[in-house]
Amino acid sequence: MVVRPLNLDELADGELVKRARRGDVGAYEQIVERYREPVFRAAYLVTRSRADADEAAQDAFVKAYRALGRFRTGAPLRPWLMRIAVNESRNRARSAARRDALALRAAAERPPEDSDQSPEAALLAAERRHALLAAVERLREDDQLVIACRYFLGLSEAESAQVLGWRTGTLKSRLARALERLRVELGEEART
Amino acid sequence: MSELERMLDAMGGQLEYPPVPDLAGLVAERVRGRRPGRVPARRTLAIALAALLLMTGAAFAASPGLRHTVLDWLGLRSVRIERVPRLPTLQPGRAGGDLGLGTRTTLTGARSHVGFLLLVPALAPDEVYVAGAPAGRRVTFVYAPRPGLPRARDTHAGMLITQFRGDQPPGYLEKTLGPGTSAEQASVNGDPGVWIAGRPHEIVYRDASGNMDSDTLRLAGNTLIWHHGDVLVRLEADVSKATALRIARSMR
Repeated sequence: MVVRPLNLDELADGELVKRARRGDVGAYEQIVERYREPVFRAAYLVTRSRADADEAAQDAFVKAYRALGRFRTGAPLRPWLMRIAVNESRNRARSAARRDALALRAAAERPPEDSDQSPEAALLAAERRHALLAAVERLREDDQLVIACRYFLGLSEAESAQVLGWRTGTLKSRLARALERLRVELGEEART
Repeated sequence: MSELERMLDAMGGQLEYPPVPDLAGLVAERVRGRRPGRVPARRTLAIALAALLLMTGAAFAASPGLRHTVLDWLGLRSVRIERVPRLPTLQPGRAGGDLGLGTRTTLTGARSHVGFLLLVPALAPDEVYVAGAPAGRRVTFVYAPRPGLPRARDTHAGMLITQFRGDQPPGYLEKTLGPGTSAEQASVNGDPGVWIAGRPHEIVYRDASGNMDSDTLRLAGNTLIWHHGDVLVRLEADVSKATALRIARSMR
């Protein structure tokens, strides 16, 4: 006789959703495992608090489980989950005192071994990154979100639109305006 | 892409995030026992349609129009049959394992453990297993392959006969049929049943909360299921319907 364990990590998203809808908690666990990173990161970019992002991501997955019946079969799962997480995080961020919100930080970029970049050039690059992030953080919430989705989380325009609940056309125009305002912020940064 | 966009894009890979928490276990704990979101109402129509087709008594073959149909049929209240476009690919099994049938015992041992009268065919089983779930226990007879009972491709056994109290929650035993599998009515000594044949299909058990244990998910071959009083009997073997019925009718 044989044991035939089901290898859940090999199943496609649609198959896992189908099983989860039937109450297969193991299949849903696999979905959580598959998407916990983008969901948590999206939550962190909104809340800027590790504890809040943790709770928001967890609540988002629980809400998504209850909403599985409304998930359109065949639709991409990642942006659907991230949208629930972003909404959950926004509610949390609005109600929480933001004094303890962490500033976004970029990891120090190490130049390749054979790079001829001087220490001065490396310092300059680090300063530019710091200035860029500081400028993003001065933008209003919607502008920050659209930039975070499109660039920091690496989502396509269509995915970003889905996460934010906008039409793709709306996303494009709002992204363009957010970038304009970011340029202004960076200009002001340069003058001060 | 502008220089600004290129810088933002590059920043995406350099942002520092806290470690991603291990959410899967925590979320599973919170959703366990809750019902997942309900499927859209249009499926209900498919269910009704499929039930209507089955009531005609005709075998039904895989049809895209009958996908996702759930049947609660012929008084086999604790059995649910679902038709899906395709079954998942399961890992090749390892020899010498077990089928998650429970603890090995003897026929006498099984009789003293279960809360119902066991039916035993004329052919005595090679192995007997008792599982704690569901309430009232489940008993499985295992038959080694032999002439007339070929080795099943998926279970490697000649025949499996499983019995449990039929007053389990609706949908306790679930069968998922892919294309190439048919289901038709069957009668065992006057007891209502269903014969599922063709390609292997999935079977799972659910607990009282409706959760299913993935350990219990496996492929099954040709299957006859019937109710005898309040006992639900399942006979699995790669044999014809006539042979399965002959074995089933010998059970006393």
